[in-house]
Amino acid sequence: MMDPRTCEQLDACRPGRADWEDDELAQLAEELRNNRELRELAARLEDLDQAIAAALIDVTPPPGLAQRIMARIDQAHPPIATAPTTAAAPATPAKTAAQLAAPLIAGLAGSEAEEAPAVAPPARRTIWSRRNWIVVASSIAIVAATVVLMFLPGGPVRLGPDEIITAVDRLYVQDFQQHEGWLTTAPHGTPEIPRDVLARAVAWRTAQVAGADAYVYDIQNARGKRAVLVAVVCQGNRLPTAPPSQPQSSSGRMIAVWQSPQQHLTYVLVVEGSLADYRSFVALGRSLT
Amino acid sequence: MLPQRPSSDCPEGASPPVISIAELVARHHAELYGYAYRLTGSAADAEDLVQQAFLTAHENLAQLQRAESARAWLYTILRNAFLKGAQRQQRLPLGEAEIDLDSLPEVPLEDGIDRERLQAALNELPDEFRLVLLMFYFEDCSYREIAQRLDVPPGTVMSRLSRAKSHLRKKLFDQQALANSARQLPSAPEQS
Repeated sequence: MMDPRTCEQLDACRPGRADWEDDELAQLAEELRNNRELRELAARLEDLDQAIAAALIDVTPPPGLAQRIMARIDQAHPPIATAPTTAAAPATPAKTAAQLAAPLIAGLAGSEAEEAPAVAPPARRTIWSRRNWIVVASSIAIVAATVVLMFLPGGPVRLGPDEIITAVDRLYVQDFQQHEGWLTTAPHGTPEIPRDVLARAVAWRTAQVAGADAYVYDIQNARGKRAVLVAVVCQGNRLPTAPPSQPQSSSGRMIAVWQSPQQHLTYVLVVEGSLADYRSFVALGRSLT
Repeated sequence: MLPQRPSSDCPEGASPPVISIAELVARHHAELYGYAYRLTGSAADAEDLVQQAFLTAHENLAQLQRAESARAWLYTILRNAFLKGAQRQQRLPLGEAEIDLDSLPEVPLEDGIDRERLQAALNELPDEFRLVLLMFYFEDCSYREIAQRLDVPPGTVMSRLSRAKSHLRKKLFDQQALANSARQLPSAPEQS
């Protein structure tokens, strides 16, 4: 019978993540180094964890859910109309959040947006006050200052995983799916595709991801399926050094983030489709054993 | 191009939010629905919970300081909404954390896990155990992050996590348990 403490420690390790630096788990890491049977058990548990995680996240939302959410928000908080520019001109009818979200949801979530019509509550009128304009002007100034600071020369850029994923996902939706901007040859200095990625590049481009330089690859795997890999020149914070077995799922896309062993590049892989589609692009190693 | 932020996102005089509610919904509704479904075990309850979570998010959008934190923020809102509305149902008592080597499958396959059995096993867990398990698998939280977010000691999280995983393993892979639960399934009370 296994010691319950060891059992708890094994169960506390996340699959595909370097949790061994944790003080509590470092002790287990030491035991693993000296115990082959324990290593084999840890590997089997990691496999099980991956299988359970894949089954858990495999939930399909009902059609039209996004539209119903926006409609409920509109019903609870009717939108406000913008003011007329002249006294004689009529007020511009406010668009509901659902109406404004429709193209976005259609772009991000496929055809689901067409399945449920938005509910349009009656519009109300308001006047833009001087305070509104001050708020807008201040916001623009803050954004501009932030952008300037981001591009100032300095040490290596450090970005968190959520920050990188959000920035890449936004670029993916806005730019990477367009035909424009892609090159048929790799730009000078483009790093090699990491060996964990089982695909070859068919087109390249460069980009700025949250202020950091990035190389973008349009990649194709052996089955002919395409995906986008982004190599961001930055240090990731506490990221695994191999593709994770459990990517994030967002609007029908699988998004994974990890960093190079030298920790100077952070990779983001965006694959349209299921977990199985994602896994067809990566070689999943054993980070724990 | 992304659409402009809906006017209802920014009440007069308030700072503009870092991300629009429309973008949040578009990006995260599917993932949050999956989380809610696993938490509640019911499609209707999951949809209601997700709608409630986004409504709360919309009302508190000004609190979100960074767009990069949106995912974790939404998960927190959904968790709180779930805990607030959760009916304390009588669940099965959990056994101690254990790993039965003989019951573990040699090569677990992604498609080899019965989704209904998985949900049934989840439904049997007390809320605090299920929540820890889903934060581990869904949110990819470490046990220390879970402890921090739920404000419970790390040792407690480690224990709950291990006992919850033992329960899942037993229900999913222990052949004897599979046979027993198969006999009990027709009369099992519906969880929702």
